[in-house]
Amino acid sequence: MSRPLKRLPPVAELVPHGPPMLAVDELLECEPGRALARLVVRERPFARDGRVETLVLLEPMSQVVAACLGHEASREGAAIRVGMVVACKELVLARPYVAVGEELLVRVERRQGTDQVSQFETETRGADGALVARAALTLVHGAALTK
Amino acid sequence: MTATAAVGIAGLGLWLPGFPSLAAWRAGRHDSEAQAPPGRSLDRVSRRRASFLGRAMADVCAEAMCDAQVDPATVQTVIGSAIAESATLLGLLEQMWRRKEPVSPAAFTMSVHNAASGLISISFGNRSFTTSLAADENTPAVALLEGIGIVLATGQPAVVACGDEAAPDGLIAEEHTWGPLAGAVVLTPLQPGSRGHARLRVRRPGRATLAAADVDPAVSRNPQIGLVDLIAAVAQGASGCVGLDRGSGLGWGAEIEPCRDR
Repeated sequence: MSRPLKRLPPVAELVPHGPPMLAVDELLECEPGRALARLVVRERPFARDGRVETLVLLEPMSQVVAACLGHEASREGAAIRVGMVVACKELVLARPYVAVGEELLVRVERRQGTDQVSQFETETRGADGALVARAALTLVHGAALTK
Repeated sequence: MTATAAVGIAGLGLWLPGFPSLAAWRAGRHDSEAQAPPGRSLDRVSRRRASFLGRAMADVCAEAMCDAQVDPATVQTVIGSAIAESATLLGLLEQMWRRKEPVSPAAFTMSVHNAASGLISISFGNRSFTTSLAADENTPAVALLEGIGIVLATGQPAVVACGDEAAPDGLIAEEHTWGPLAGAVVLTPLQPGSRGHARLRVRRPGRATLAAADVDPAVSRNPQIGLVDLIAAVAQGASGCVGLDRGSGLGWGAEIEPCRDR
């Protein structure tokens, strides 16, 4: 049985993304099948007039799923794999924009999964706890990551 | 309650496993050889490129357009599908990630959600408006809402086609997998003297007062089954409300009333 790591690794070590696409700042909690992460909305690459369309949060929500799966793999000594979001269901955008500089919390939890496909419930909330966005994402898992 | 304005339904098309047309299904003429749509309405090049879903969508559109006597080169199209070309997409990912093979650009063009829409436009020589939508089991309702909006805004007919092929292995939990289907309706503005099958309004809530179509249980789990229920009810000349999601979606319904002048 794998033991939880004492410190969570930097997100950049768990996902294939790099700047400026890497939107997630820090994993706060992570255990098999679920994770909580924090991010501060940045100017680059999607902001216009100091704000970002909430739909863009699909990207960091997907990145937290990738980090969760990457962390699982690293705990088990397996290779971190790339993946692709192939479906988005039950999408809720509670407001049209988020502000640059705003702090958000992203929580993801696996609904079901196999070696090849996973479905995750994902949601983003503001610092006040109010829902910002929610979606169920289906991911296909690919080959081992080479960075 | 939310309800749209009324439009006419002037044409119907259907493909089900074993039933290559609405006429075959209504007559109960099951053909065990007809397990894949032929794509007869597509030109030779497009037919070769088209997936199972692309062929089915093109054939039901052609059947409905012919029934409605609208011009395939000018009618507007709304294409609805929950998973669309996922099988092609997953095949490409498998090729790229697991077999480490180069990916064909031609196959890539057919892996996108609007592949069927593109093939139909090319094959029918149609430069009019087209759009592709996905809303899981709410797709028939959303596609009809879009189609009704287009008809009312332009005063011109629109064909609304919905379909899904069987989900590729692993994408959907086994107990939720489904059999393939495709259906199409041609929507027209309501005008005095215009011919058509029925008047249509889409509403929510839309509690069903008409029976669902009698189809194979696997086909009945297809997210697009609501459009088949509507086509079956219209073809029978029924009057009442058809549920557009068999209780699994947001509860949209289609209120239909047969046209007397048909």
